[in-house]
Amino acid sequence: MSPPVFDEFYLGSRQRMLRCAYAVTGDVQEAQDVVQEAYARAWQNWRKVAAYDDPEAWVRTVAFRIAVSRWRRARSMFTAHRRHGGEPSAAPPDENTVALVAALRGIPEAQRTAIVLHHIAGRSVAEIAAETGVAEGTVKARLSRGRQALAHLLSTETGNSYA
Amino acid sequence: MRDDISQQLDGFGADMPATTWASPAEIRGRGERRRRVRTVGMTAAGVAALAVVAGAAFVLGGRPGEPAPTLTARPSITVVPQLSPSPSVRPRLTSPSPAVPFDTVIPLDAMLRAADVSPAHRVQGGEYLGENYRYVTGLCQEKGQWDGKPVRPQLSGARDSSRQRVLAAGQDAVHVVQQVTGYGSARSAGELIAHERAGFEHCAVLDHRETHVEFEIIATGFAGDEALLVRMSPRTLLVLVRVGAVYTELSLTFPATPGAADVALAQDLADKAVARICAATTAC
Repeated sequence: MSPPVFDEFYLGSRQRMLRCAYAVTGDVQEAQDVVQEAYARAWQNWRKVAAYDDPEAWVRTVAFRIAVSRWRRARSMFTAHRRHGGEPSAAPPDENTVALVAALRGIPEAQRTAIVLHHIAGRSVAEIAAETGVAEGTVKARLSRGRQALAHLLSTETGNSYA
Repeated sequence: MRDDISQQLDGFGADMPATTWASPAEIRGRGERRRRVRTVGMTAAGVAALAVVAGAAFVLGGRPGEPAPTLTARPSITVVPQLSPSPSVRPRLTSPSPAVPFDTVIPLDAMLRAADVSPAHRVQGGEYLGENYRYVTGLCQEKGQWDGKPVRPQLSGARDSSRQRVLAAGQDAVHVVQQVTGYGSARSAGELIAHERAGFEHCAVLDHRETHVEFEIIATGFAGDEALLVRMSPRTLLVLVRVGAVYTELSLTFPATPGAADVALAQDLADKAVARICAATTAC
């Protein structure tokens, strides 16, 4: 596939990808770094990635792995500090988004991934099961528990309705 | 009717601020650079084999969009000794190896086996896409803390080859990522060790946003021709070893329990890695 097709793919999907990565990382700048790195890896493997039915799913999976890897590493360091380095390329989101992101970071990684894929990436339970390699029942359980945990963290009420 | 949580999640990111993105050309450029310097995954043996066949004209990976390269012949790897299940013989290594030609690929037998770590460990399939410490030393360079010197040697075409293997046994056991790369000469492999060592020294403490990393070189010269053992975090040890023209790197992530990082295990795996390389290549 030629460069213009990749360019179109990148330009058309990157904002969706950013929303998901932001929900996973909780940091806009970090999310953008992760997403751009995932697209670079997509180009690196473009012949293979372009042949997939859903190249966006490949990029999202890679972005999540990079994000989780970085996040795990940061968590495993001696301490984690909020530091501000360099010129940010994005202004901070509003306080509701920040609160939701903080709550998302407070729930287990598997639940967060399921929540993000379902609610933000718009994937069905079956698609999430295929994308994450677990049974549909597991996805439903993760969504249910994740939502309950989020509701607790955000002090809002929740219900369950996963088909 | 959607509940509050669903409504909040559904609207997530609707107010995402405008961001300044890298251009498509910049992303493609980054991907091209990754392809050029890539020493991970991507069926290294096949690439190296093709490189041997096609000679110096071959460019690693080729451009996307071009027809997939077709392997028409295998390289003539001469003597590849058979390995015993457990590499018990540590090769005798003397002074740093001379820059002798190294013109073979890295065979699978040059890699650590799962049983070298523990009976419970297994080789994980698929490409490892996680980050390694170079993400940190890269940040360090971007922040101007290190100028990247001495420079990392370039992988130079046909003679270069690389393999990666992940050995894991669940969350409660050490997770090992091994990379083995053949350089054109012992000198080049030595330059890589010097480059990485300088990175650890210049980036001994790195703070960037949420990341705080401290590198500490805790042992040297314990395996192969040159070796470094580096503590990157309480649960992450890095082992870098040069054996002639072959470089191997182990990243060991231990379970998140106090005192889990096992320096003796790291050094033992370094010895085993050297034995595997020596038995399967002409590096020793």
